[in-house]
Amino acid sequence: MKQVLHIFRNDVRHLWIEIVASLILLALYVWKTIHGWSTPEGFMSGLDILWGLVTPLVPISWCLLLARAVHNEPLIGDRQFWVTRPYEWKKLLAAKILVAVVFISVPLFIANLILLAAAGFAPVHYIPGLLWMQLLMAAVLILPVLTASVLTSTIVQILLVVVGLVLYALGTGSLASAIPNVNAPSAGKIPAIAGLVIFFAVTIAVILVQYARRKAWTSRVLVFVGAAAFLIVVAAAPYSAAVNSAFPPLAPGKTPPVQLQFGPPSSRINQPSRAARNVLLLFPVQVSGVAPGSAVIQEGQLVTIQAPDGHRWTSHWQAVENSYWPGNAKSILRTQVDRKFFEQEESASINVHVSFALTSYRETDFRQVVSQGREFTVPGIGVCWLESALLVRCRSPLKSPPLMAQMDPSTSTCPPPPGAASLNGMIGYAWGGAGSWSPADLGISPIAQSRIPFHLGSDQELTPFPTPGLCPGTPFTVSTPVKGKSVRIEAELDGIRLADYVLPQPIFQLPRQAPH
Amino acid sequence: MITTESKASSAIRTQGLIKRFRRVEALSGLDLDVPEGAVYALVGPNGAGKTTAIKILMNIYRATSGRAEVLGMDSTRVAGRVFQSIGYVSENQQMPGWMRVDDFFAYLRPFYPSWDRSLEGELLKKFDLPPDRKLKELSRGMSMKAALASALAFHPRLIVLDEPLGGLDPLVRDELVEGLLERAAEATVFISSHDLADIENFSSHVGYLERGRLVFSEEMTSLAARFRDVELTLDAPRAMPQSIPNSWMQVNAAAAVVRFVESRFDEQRTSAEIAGVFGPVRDATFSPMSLRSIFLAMAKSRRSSG
Repeated sequence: MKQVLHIFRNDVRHLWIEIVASLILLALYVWKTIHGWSTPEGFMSGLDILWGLVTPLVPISWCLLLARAVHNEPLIGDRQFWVTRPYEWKKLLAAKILVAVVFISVPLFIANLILLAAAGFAPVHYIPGLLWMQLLMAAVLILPVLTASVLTSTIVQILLVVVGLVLYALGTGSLASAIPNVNAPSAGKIPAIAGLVIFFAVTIAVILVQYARRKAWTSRVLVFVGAAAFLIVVAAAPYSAAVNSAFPPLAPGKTPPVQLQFGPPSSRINQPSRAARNVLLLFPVQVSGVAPGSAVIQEGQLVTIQAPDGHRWTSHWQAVENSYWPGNAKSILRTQVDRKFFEQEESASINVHVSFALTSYRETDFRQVVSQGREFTVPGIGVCWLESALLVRCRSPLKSPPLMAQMDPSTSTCPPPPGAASLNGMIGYAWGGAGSWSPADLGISPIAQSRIPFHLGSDQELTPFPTPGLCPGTPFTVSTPVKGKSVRIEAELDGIRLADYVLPQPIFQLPRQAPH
Repeated sequence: MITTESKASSAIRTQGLIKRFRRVEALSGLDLDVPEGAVYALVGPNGAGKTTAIKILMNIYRATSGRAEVLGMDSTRVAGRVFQSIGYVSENQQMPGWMRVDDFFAYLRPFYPSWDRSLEGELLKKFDLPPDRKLKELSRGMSMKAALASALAFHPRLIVLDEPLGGLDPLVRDELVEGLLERAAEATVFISSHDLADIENFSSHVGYLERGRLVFSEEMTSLAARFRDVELTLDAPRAMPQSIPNSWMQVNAAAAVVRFVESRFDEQRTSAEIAGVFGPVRDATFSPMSLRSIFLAMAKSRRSSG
């Protein structure tokens, strides 16, 4: 331990500027974050943009500090004085880890405690979550930086490694985009798990090999093998099987969690944009049959279009997120069809088959909340405030909690807007997400910002405006979604013309400037 | 290869050491034996493999094959605490330039249980090292002095120096050698150099490495004793006989004068061999040779013999 502390003290003496800089940046970040909670969002001034740089500069300063600490005793090359001194590699590595713990983990932990307290949460209740955040930070920042540092001897070389990683990520993304069903719901789990296993195995192995043996070529080969193995996993993962397994077909005779039926097309004649590679088609969908006290979340869709001349087009599985609620509502299914196929078949009588990947959620743990003109506490969620008549924003400890919410517009305390639409007893719903298994989100701040966006009916139907919404005094209900079954249901649309379902272009038009 | 009989205990011993860098063979079966207490000079031209051999001994490189032992330990295990007994200095070592000289010594102290503060002070004074100067601001000579002082201040059992004197001015070189010799009594010194003049005056043993092979390894006294520059004056010019002893090198004749280098000098035996080849000679002189002359003679002889 004496040697560990001795090397650590030497690092501190050498890197005190980097240490002080990172601590100041973290302090600024804490101040900026707390200050930001009481400042309304709006137009950003130059100073705000400078302030905005503080957030990325905090992890950058950590990376720099850690890399410089490792480079104090570089592991690349054969001319370093320390190689022939009585350093014990385990103690040298421990000293570098100690730098990370003392000047990254501990300050971050303290900053998190301050932020939690300032946000109105008792820090002592969130210690396990904060420790989890430390683990995430170690995995996402400390481990990769250590790995890059043991394979380099200068910061410039580390920047080259970063460029290499960016190119690798772009290449992997490009490869993945060419693989069918890579975006299928739940399918990403396979490369994600494999990627994590490869990442931890390679980074830990490289660090150990470098400190124990300084075998740079062996380490580089390990990195390349890991990168190649991940590419193979991405290319060869059984995405289609994964989605079929996660969303099995509805058993015969069982009632689907939601009825989705195609409606008639818009009566407008629309022209697809000539510039786009794909043509966006919108299929109106009638939604019904969602059981009271529950919601159904569409996580993915597979659209297959069959033309009478034998031509066939498939979207492959795509991840989408739509929420369906009790009552009858309208929704829209969107899909982008290959332009060439569209131009060949736009007037033909074609068949559209859609597979929906659905998961149902049951509401539990109801909490009645009354909106207020200032910040108000929502039990189990955090501190919330009204952002607009249909949007509640909240600050939550550690992560965005799973939540669903509903409001009855007839109880709105807002003054009725002129020309308000007839609501016919519709309920406003909000889907805040199913939450994650992780005890905390990755980040510098332990405060998660979550949104509760209310709308009437299902997601993709625009809420009829103007409508009475949330004003101070308006009650709404928050509940926790409990995951039910995931199933796949099918829907068909036969004998239609694709041209009737084209998105009106342009969808957004800037207002013309009035002549002076 | 010529080797003298090794003592019972060796500070360094290698057997069939081979090191290849892809297609280049830097060491081709090096057999080396450095007795404890010796000041062993490994000499040879640039690219002979001296630094490679030392880096294998210091476990900086791994040998392709063969075996090396340092202080009785396999060189692949030379790491960590083993360096509490080894002082290593190399001409191109990367020092922590940001440290001041006094910080550098203060930093190293706790690594060595045998660190001698008074010796450290002596060395700093002797080498005239400015304690408040950063290492990166030192001249090459001063930097080497700082490195050497830091390698001597803990009374190492083995001092390994890789070309420490190259490119230094004579004054600094003398200071370094003097500092080294003061400590040589308590340690084995293994020093590499491509300049024979650097090491001639203080080495007890010398090994000559050429193209990765040890040409010879011998005690300096025995080497100096067995080599002589021989000049014979004959009664009359005479054709060179076909058969001459193997130990004669670079034999050449000009009129009645014959010169050669005798590599196994023994006055009686050599005189008898001369008489056997030339018969009675008018005059014979046997002059001792400098190490440089010996190596030149050997190198030329090897070259001419292919």
